[in-house]
Amino acid sequence: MQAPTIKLRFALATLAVFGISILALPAAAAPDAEGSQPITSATCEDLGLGAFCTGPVYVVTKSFKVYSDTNPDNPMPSAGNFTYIYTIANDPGSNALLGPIKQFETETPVNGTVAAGFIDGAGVEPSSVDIESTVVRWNFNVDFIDPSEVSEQLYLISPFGPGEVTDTHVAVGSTFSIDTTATCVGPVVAPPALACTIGFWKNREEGKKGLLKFFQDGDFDAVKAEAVAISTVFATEAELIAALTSTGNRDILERGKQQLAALLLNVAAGNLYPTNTKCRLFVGVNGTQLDTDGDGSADTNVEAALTLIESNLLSGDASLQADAHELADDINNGVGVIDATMFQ
Amino acid sequence: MNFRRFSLVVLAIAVCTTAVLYALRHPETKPAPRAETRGAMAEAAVPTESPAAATPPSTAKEWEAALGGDPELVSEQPPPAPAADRIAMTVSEKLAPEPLSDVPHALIGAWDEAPDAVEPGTHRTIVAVVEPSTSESELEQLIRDIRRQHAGAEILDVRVYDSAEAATTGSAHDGGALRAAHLVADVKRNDRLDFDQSKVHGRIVEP
Repeated sequence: MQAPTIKLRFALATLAVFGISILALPAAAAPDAEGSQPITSATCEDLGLGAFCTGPVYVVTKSFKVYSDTNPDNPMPSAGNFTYIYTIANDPGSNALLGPIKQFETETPVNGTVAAGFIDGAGVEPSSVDIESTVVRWNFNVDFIDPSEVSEQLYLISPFGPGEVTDTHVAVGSTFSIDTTATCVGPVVAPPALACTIGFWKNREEGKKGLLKFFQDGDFDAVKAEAVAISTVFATEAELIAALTSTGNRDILERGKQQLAALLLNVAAGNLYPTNTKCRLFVGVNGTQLDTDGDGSADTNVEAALTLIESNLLSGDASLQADAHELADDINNGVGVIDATMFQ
Repeated sequence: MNFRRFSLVVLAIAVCTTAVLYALRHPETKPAPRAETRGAMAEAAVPTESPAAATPPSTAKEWEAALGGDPELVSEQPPPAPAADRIAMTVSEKLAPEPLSDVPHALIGAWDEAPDAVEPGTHRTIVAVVEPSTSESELEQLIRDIRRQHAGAEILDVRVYDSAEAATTGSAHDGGALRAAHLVADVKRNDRLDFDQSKVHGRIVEP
């Protein structure tokens, strides 16, 4: 009965190896969101190129995948950020001369991109990637995405959540390029707000050790300049800093202006450096929402609150100035700020 | 110094240090309670209690102050409350040289960031009162008219109430709830923040 035992052991060992192999295989990619759509360019006829070709100059299939930072299948995980992956497949029927794709770009929130590039694989590599304030552009100037070819996986990392964005596909054309604009899923929804207190900003201004790592290399100067630019209460940086760093017994106007200074800095930091993970309040579509009446739902936003606060501080009435002080103080401390996070 | 004496000295130093630290972190004046809602918060800003026993910090802000994270909070008293719970608004003639609209209203507040300047400033605030019977369409017309008259403002804040009493009541006792309840129309336009929103009875209306 020796032989069957050996066979049984062999069979079990084989099964075990197979099982381990299955477990060791990478899990099938499961993004948080994905999709694809065909993008059809203008026709040759529409472009006055009827003598050279017929029908659309090119048709591409654009695919997207969105991964959260905690998704184990995220090929480019980045803490606190979403990863957007795009691939561009040029249809075999695209015009061979005019239809190769030389550029793909997608819009982003202002300064909302942490990183962008491509994942090395078997596709067509972009020759360069431009990260600009409101756009990321993948250039294929050296090696076009010819008909029947597929690009590498093009990635974009941003703290902004998925929403509808406009993107543009640019084909070689002849003496001109042939652009086709479409929509896709990209970074849109503002990340959680991070409010910083007057204490933080005052200490940052005074260069307290441990805080200099935030807003380095002139970024803090830029934040202060932006804060003044969006304010009607402070005409200069000197005024802003004087209010921020004021101490001692002051009237409600001065105390309100101190809170306003911090609030402006929070908004300015969100405007200029939305990817920072310290202080950021957002304005605009999908900006930071506020619950000022404590009923648990948003009733206003940072833009309206900031406008109200500055109006009240300019009113000359102590009661309205006290309201302004309270509201700014609350926001700077994350009170009533929807989805606020406090790290300091 | 023998070991026993040394131990006693060390113990005494430790007790003194603890007492000093405790005293520094627990000032005698009880901090104004930080309320959950804005309504109660305005009340909290008015000190209504006499100094009481030290209370441990209960909010992140108080902890920050207690731990020395914000020297401003540690060293100062709560902000002084307004003397009276009435709002006294300025009405600057230059901001309303003529009636703002044919819709019946009373102008009770109009100011900007440059009260001494002859010309209207870039940040203008207009506060008006209408009869409670004013219709939605009339309110929409009123704020449209005000917007048109102040199209040159970079920042425009318009508040329309249906009660003069409510419009001039401060927030000290109710956190501004009365005033908010009588706010029937509102404009917040801020070109610097690329923001423009008009509301009538909380409903967003087209400019």
